[in-house]
Amino acid sequence: MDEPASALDPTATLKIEELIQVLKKKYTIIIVTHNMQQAARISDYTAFFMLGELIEYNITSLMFTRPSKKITEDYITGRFG
Amino acid sequence: MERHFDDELRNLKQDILKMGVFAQDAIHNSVESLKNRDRELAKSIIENDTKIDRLELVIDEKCVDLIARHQPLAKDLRFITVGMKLNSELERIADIAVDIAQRVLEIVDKPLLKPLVDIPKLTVIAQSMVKMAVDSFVNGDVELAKKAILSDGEADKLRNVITKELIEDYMAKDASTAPRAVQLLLIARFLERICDHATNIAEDVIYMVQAEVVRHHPEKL
Repeated sequence: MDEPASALDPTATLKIEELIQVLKKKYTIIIVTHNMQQAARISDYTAFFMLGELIEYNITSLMFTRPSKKITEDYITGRFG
Repeated sequence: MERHFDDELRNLKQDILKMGVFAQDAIHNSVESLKNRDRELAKSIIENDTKIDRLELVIDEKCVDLIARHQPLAKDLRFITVGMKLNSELERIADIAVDIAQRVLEIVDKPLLKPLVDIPKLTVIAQSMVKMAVDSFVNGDVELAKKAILSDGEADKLRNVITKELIEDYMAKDASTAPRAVQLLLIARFLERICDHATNIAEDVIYMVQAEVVRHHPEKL
């Protein structure tokens, strides 16, 4: 899914995200998003790409609490990007 | 609409409730070990504390994870931040039960200085306050939280009675009673500290439910 809730209001976004939670029990879902809050909320694993290069891939909870690379930490804390 | 996040919050609540049960068991067993002069029970409290410490770390980790992944706001944020504080308070309560068990081990082989009357009464207050505080968290019950807070004065008074009696009727009259009297003094002090932690929990519950800070503001109760 490419930016699946990018133009939606919060209620519609919640419906999409809850549907993803149901579907993920049967299917592997890959979401491309610039919305880090959404990535953190609904994914089990997160990959951080920059300029076409994979920088870091990890369990979402680890990615957003203790990323292993400084560049990832700077990006998710809004220091650049 | 029910959110996936709500399941995770319920799961966190269950873990905190489990922590509350462990802490209450630890208090109960520590004083039972004193009343029954049960060395093995006192030792088991010290050994079981590792289990409580482990659960504390698990709950802390879950709280941080929920904050990072869901960016909670308003009542969700209050629930998680209060959950983290409760977790620490309950772990401290369990540590105090360990302190009591260690004092029990010091006196378990010596004759009792006096029949235990007020310490069991103080224990009942401490257990009841912790139960009320944890139940008020589980049910979001502000009235029960207030009841727990208002019980603390009774605990303070009873601790003072115990202290006065041990100093004036025993240690001042016969210095040889001091080693045993000091242990009982410490146990009374520890029980009163448990009541203080229960008060902190209850104050946090009021903040969680009503978004109102009553800590350091007794006039708001």
